[in-house]
Amino acid sequence: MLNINELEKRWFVYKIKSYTPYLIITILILLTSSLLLFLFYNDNSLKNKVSIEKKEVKKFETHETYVKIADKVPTTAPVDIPKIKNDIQKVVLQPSLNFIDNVVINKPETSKKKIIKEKIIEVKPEPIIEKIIEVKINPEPIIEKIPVEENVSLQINKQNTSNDINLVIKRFKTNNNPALSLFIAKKYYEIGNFNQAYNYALITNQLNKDIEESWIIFSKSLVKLNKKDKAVEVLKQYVEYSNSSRAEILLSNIISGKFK
Amino acid sequence: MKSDIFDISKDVFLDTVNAKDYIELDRVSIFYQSLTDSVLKPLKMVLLYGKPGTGKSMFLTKLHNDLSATKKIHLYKTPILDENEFYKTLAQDLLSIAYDGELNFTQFMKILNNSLSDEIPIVLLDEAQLYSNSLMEKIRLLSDTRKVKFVITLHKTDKEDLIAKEHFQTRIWETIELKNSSSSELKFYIQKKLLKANCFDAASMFQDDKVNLIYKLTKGNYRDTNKLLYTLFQIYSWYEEYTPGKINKNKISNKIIEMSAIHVGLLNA
Ligand SMILES: Nc1ncnc2c1ncn2[C@@H]1O[C@H](COP(=O)(O)OP(=O)(O)O)[C@@H](O)[C@H]1O
Ligand SMILES: [Mg+2]
Repeated sequence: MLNINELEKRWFVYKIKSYTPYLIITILILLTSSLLLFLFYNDNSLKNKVSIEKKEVKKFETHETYVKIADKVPTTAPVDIPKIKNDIQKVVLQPSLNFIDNVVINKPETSKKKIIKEKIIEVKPEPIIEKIIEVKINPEPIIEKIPVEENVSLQINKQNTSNDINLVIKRFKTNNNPALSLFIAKKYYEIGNFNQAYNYALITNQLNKDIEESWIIFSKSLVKLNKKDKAVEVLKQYVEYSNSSRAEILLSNIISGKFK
Repeated sequence: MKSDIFDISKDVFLDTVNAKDYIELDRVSIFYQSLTDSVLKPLKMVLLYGKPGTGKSMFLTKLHNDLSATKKIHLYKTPILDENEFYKTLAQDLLSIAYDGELNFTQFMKILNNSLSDEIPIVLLDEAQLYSNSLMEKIRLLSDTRKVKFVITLHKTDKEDLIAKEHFQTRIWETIELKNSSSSELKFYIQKKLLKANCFDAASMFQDDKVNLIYKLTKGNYRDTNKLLYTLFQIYSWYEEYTPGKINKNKISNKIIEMSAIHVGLLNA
């Protein structure tokens, strides 16, 4: 005769057995992904700590180094890439100060209030987390060059973006081609980093003030940075100067609030 | 005592071979036609082979049943392993000659050649894989006399294996291979069997997905399907008796299919 209870038990065991491969795979996936996440977090917080420490120690040196590198840039045309990379990692503030420099010299009216920002672009495969660390810098050593009203706040955006922004930035540093800086501005805008989008659009405008696209990214970034008035002002001037219909449309969209 | 639907359905799948239970499966019917044709042709011997449980015995039984009214046909479901006994049995059945003492091959050949029959008798030998090679060779020689025609079945799966054997190489064999059913044939088989026994409700419990699961487990083998479904209905009647609330009578449960498969060894747990 059939022993149903025993058969039910055997069936249950069979069911469990037949699910174990899936169970194991699921557990493995969960484990590896959580391990990866864990490593990723750890890695990030470690690096953040390190860069903060560096900043605090080198409050003044940063500026000096910047000057050195800024001097170097035009003279070293074929750049040794790994060396530049090292420099960038050590001297985090270099590119934006460079740009501030330009701003101050060429367009003093736009620099009433200066935000100096810089990004360290990590070459990491998964763009998941963005961390922002603010480092206050004593303004004094820059005062002769830049009229700063308040503390200049430095933002170090740690972001995992694709390699190509990083590479394009490198290339841009070697040849100052506005097409490249515009590309960088657009990329930053796309990934929602409006500070950097603003910076690079600004740089582009200074290199070539006739690039419509750059002015559009510039004013859009301003709107995104809650500087709608400034955006409107800039766009009005640009429309007057260029008669760009795209800029005109954007201007009316900003004013009407359609573009926010 | 209880003669509920599950109990009756269970007995439908008893592993028995009766001509009245024969179901005309499409593919098998074609074979059946060619088999009856070749049986009626002189000389040809017929070799029916296939895996166990593909319906060879059923086939022979059906053939015997259908032709026995009009033909001299004899079915031997279990092999007669002793050679002497084999010839004596044939002499008795085909020629109505009873022998008390010994009857060897040469003697039997002689009486067979001397027989004056207007009709060639047909001998159906099931499970012929059990006959020795030497007896098989003699069966072939007996066929050559054209005084008797053999239809034999073999539990063999590999055709190459068969043909390699010397006594199957001669051209006088006509071979027919029976195979496991397809899943649609299996559905037809299960439902037809149940309907023949008036188990309409049970038949409607086998929807396509259920039959597919059964097919996956039995690979379309009729014997395995019988075993599985016999156990399945056994389990159903157990539940019906002890926990009737637990079972759904509209649909066979996968769990019970799998439980049956575990019980009959189609699944190992
Ligand atoms: N055409 C058929 N109709 C009904 N039942 C069949 C048919 N073919 C096979 N079966 C069932 O399958 C089972 C196995 O078949 P069988 O002829 O004994 O296989 P084999 O002789 O090849 O091992 C039998 O019990 C029989 O009930
Ligand atoms: Mg058989």
